[in-house]
Amino acid sequence: MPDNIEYMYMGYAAMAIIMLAMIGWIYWRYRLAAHEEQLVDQFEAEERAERAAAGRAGARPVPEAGADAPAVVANSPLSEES
Amino acid sequence: MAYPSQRTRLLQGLTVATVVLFAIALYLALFWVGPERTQGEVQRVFYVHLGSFLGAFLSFTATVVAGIAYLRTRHPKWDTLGLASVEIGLGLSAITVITGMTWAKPIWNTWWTWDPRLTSVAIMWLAYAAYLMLRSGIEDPERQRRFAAVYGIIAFASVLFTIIIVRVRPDTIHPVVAGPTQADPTGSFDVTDRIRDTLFFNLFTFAVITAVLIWHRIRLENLVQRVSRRKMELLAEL
Repeated sequence: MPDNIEYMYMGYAAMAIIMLAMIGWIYWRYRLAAHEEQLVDQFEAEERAERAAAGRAGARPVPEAGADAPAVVANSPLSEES
Repeated sequence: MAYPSQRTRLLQGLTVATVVLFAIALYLALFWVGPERTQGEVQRVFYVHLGSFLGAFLSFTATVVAGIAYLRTRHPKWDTLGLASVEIGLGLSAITVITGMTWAKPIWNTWWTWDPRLTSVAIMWLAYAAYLMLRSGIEDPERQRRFAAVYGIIAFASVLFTIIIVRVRPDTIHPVVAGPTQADPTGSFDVTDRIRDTLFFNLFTFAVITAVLIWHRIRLENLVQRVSRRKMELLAEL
């Protein structure tokens, strides 16, 4: 019987490397995508919190008439003095 | 929509079962079955070589099914299946080629020869590698999916060619496991009961490995697409 066991080891080692590379690649990309999804969740939650805060600020008592009008800065092109 | 937890549990269970199956398959191939009389220990590579080719064949068949289904329904899930099966098929056919080379060196006294079967399997591998490269070169998603579906169907001709070539060309030296051949191959051996049982178990195991890997790859692709969609929605809102 020929002595060629080292080629058998080589074949199985090559199979193991390719299999592990395939599994590792899928696992690594899944972890990366899952992490990105967490970041998106976090960002969305922050956005919602900011909007809720802005909504509460918008619900304060309405200021007196005229207060909403845009202020005309002195010496600006829109001011009567200019 | 998040991936249903019931499916995740099923996939986890199947993954554990696959690991057990693979361990048994390795035990059978490396310890239970004895070394082949004329070829010695290197013949044990044959179980992985043929098993991985079966896996690649099943993967590329799935690509054809996915391509036809996509062209009929235009549902993106079929495109995801097509992409996943090509990637897994490429990995498995790489195992086929490399284990074949390690077997060929002591039996044929060369790592590689431009035999009709070896040439056709190299063409098959390159055809599917080109699928991934050409696919990534198309930006419009609808065009990309349509192209991938059509290419996936046409590329299957290289798989059929690889299977048929050893049966019709008289000048091949690659052994034929099942069916008639016109050639006089170098490296054939007698299939004993133990070799047959080990081979069938390995074929079954590689079929299961293929299905599980494709499923994991589909799950990954669904997650990547969902994250990408959510990022676009967020950007649109800002």
